[in-house]
Amino acid sequence: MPPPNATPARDAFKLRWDVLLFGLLVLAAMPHATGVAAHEWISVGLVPVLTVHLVLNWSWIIATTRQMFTTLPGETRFNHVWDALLYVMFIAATVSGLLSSRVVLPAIGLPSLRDGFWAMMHVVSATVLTCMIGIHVALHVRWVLARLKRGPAAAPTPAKEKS
Amino acid sequence: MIQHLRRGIFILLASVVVALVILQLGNLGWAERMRVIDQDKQLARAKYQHSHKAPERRPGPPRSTSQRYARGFVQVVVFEIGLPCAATLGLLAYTRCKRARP
Repeated sequence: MPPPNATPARDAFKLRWDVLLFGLLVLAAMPHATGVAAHEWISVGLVPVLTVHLVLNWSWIIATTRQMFTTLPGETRFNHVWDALLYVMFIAATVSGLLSSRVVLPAIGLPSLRDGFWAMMHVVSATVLTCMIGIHVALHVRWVLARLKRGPAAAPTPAKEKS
Repeated sequence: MIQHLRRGIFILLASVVVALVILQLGNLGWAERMRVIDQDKQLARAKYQHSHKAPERRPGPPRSTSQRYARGFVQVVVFEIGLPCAATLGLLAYTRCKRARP
């Protein structure tokens, strides 16, 4: 179901933003490779990026929620429920990560809590979140491919350079 | 622009509400049990390290950053994201194919 206010320029921006979000999520999922400090700051940076992602898809979210219990294909309904679970899992991973943080909390002047429960919760929720992202990407792959097929013609026109 | 800002604030407020609900998990009985198990493990590890003092060794050469990166990348992108993605695509293709053929 396309969002009511979809335009080629808006779609191009959305695709770029999605690529940025996906790249940051992959980087944040590799604390052994990036180092704990980078992992924590990238994860904090993910919060505004995800918020903008949700704002960009707001029309789709509202339109799908309104039709949730009426005329909606099963795939779209599943997609919507999956996105909601993904959102909750993202918050669970972020909250548990902040509570077991070793860099971000001390950097803002708060003591680091060494809580075994939240550390375990972070590992579980982050692993489940990463697997859920794989399914989320698969569910939206047709939109991504359709956008890529349209090519640069639909991309926003760059400002002309002054001669 | 103001409309987008309002939506963003609404999303952040909803996130705070969900976060507060998730924080309540820490007060449950099984969370306390997990903390006790974790503390017991740490105590046992400390006792073991105290009784089996390892001989002093010189630290080895630092591990290559690219090797560590490659390992993390494969684990995350191939196993954690790629496999569920491929399985879902296969399942979607199968259901679409089944629906197309009556």
